[in-house]
Amino acid sequence: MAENNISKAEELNRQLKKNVEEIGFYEFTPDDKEITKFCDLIGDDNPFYLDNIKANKAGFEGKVIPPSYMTSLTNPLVQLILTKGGPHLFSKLVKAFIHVGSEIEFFKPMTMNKKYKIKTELSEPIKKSGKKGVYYNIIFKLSVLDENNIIYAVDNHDCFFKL
Amino acid sequence: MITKKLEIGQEIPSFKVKMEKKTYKQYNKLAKEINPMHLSKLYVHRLGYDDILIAGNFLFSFIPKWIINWIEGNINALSSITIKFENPVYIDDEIVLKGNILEIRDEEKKKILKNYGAHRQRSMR
Repeated sequence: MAENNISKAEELNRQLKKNVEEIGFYEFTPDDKEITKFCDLIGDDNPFYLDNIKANKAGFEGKVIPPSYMTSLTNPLVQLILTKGGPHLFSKLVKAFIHVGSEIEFFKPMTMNKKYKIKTELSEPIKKSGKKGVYYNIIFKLSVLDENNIIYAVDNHDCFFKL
Repeated sequence: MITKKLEIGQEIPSFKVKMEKKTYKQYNKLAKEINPMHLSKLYVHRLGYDDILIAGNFLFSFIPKWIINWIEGNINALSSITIKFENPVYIDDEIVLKGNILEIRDEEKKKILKNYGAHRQRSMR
């Protein structure tokens, strides 16, 4: 059983790395409507996120993407890495996947009307035991850059996989 | 630039938010969530959880908002956040964000504040 899980962890590692390599840089343009909706859902009325004029007056190039939105921004990429090539990773290898933490560094406020890309690096799986049994821990290092490779933020997205 | 007076040990006013089902459903739609941990009761029951788990990404959302509001909306002042989700949070739970200033240091003409994380408390179920 233990040996079986180690081989599953190796297979998960191999598959995730292959997916990351195939995806390469994940490009996106922030969606204004989505950001406004997000602010509404969390009750954030900071004018720099919602009002171009006020954001410009404060010295920003445009409306600012809330730092609160950072993990929501990187999450679709994590999901894409997990599901690229079909649902077989979940049906054959992974019983459960959970985001257990994030360590985020903000270097520069991100603004709307710009194109961004995310670079992914994966840590090796580490076996851990907890209240819900044995998990494998993988950190997705997600660096958000613009087209000129200026770095805006890094999200070390800490995930547990139950195999 | 933070204009308020800051001291080590100073308490940051707490912030409470209830995990409303309707709001969370809308968030999952917005975030294009596909993880069954956040969508399927049947799935999470099999793994020993009471109910679907609120996504860490949604919980995280309230922390920068709480801190930025406290520093008078100054987005530039936020340099990093480390968050660990130690216990599951479910629909209808209320989370309470609390914090104190742990450290103040001057670095390159900036005052660096270290705030000991946001505690989360679950309401009784």
